[in-house]
Amino acid sequence: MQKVIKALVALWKIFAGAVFCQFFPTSILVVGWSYRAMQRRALRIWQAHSPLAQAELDTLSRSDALFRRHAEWPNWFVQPRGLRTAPAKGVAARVRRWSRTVSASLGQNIRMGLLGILNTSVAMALPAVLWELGWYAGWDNSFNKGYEQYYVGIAVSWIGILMFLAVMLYLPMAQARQAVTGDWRAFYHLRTVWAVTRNAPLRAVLLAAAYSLVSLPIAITLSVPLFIENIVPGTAAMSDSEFIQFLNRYYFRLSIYGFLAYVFVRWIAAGSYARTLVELIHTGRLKREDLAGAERHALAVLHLDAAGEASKLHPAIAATLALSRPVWRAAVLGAAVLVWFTFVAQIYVREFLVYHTVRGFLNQPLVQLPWFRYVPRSLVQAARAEERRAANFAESPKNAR
Amino acid sequence: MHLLRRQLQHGGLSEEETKKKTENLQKLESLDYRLDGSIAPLPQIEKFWDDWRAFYGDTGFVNARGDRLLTQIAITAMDKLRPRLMVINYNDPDYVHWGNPSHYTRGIAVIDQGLRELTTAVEANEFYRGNTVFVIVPDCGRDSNRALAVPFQHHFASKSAHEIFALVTGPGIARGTVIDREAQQVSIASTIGRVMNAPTEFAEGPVLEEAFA
Repeated sequence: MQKVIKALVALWKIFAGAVFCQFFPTSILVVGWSYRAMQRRALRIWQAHSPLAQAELDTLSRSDALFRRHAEWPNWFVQPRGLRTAPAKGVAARVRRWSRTVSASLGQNIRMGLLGILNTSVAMALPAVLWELGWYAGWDNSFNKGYEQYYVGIAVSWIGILMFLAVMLYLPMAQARQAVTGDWRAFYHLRTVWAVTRNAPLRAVLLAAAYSLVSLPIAITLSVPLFIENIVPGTAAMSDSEFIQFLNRYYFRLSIYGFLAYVFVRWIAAGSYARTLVELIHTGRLKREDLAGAERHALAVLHLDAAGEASKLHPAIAATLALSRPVWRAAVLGAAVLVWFTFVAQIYVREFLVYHTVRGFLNQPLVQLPWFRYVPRSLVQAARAEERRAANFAESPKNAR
Repeated sequence: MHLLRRQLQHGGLSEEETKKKTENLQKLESLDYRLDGSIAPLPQIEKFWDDWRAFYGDTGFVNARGDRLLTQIAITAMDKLRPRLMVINYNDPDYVHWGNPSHYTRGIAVIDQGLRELTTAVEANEFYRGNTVFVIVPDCGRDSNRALAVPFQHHFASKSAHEIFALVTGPGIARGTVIDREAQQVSIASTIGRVMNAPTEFAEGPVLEEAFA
């Protein structure tokens, strides 16, 4: 029975996530929810790495508020069970407790979502704007036959692409750090975040590959509407309102996949961050002072915040490793950049086939806001006009019978 | 082609430039059916392009661009060559297969402006005033795929991609008449033949009789 309930709760969370991924304001909730899930992932990994005995870990899970909060996957609205207080006395206290219980998670999701998207936007704003400007300039040049300025669109686009590639060597780990620490300022701890990325280059490649692979079905799904009247011939005969319903169902299915893909890449990023951080602490490359927020507390109570014994390598091997490490790192991080380029290529091909106006370049759903509903505004306006005409016709005295 | 021929005639080019221009010229000439020897080059046309080149030079950066250039050439041709039949193939809106929606509407505005200039030029030219018929017709429609924010393709065989309009105006044309029935685009050729009293025995479509007063 417990398993059935757990499965139903999981389905509810996925369904709610897919619904929230339909709209711009509610997609912020998904960002916040995913950050809380990332924090949970990191705690789980650290618990597995901790030298504490299982009994001590169990006690910690029950006694420590941070671990009690993450006994289960985050909720969308309701306070986590582990943080609920005993029933209060008095009507006012009961009302306060009740309102906290039903909305604590919603508040957390909003707060962490806003802080998350704000920091991500700081990193992504310039590359995204350059993409959009380059795209416009390129087509503007083509339209106006401005041959002598052909390079403007191309150059601006490439600058944006190169900036994006550089940003993506930093951003996923910065997002993970912000999520795990629960501190928006930790996003800007450049030294620590970069230390995590450059000391785990293989994980950076794998994360880039994960992003690129899971984004491919999204790119395809966003391009298919170009052929929709050929694939589903009945759509041409639908009224505007009926066609919007059709597209709503189409993009809702995309949102189910998109939500899972969004959580998946963040789950991988959080795991990569958590493991690498512990390794860096253990090897002394990062110190306790470099930790922040909730991660400092968690690693302290799990006895993971101190350097371990230095590994005893033959000096020659240690020297070889020390010398080759920068070369190895540069090569593998270079590979990560190439893999991120495949992610960029999908964006350009997708927008070439079906241009999604400014949103197509300014918001990448897997990186920024997980907003997957792309019903054109012109269609919505046409449907509203159609409804008004129908209402006027029905209300007209000539037609009233 | 005229420019390339003149540049090769006048010489003063490097060996590589000569080779490249010769290849370009041969490629363009291979595509022009009028160069099979059945039509002799007209000295008026040669002079027209010589005058154009003398005024605007060789770069192509000084004269107007796109459909504005077509309007400019058309008005200049009306002034210097006095053609009795002129086909202007505007195509700026076609760029928006993959581009920004504003370019599509801007392309239409450019054509509107061009038509305004052409009608003004016709009214100002005694040769054309009062005896010129305008036939304005798209070569094809466009898709109206409502799932797209930029639905300006015409590659998907949709109904709207096959639907066009035709606007005919001038002396002898029925004023304010709307022909609200299905007609084929091939009727345009035979209708123009009727306007010009020219036989069109190879035209496939019937004349649009309702267009005439």
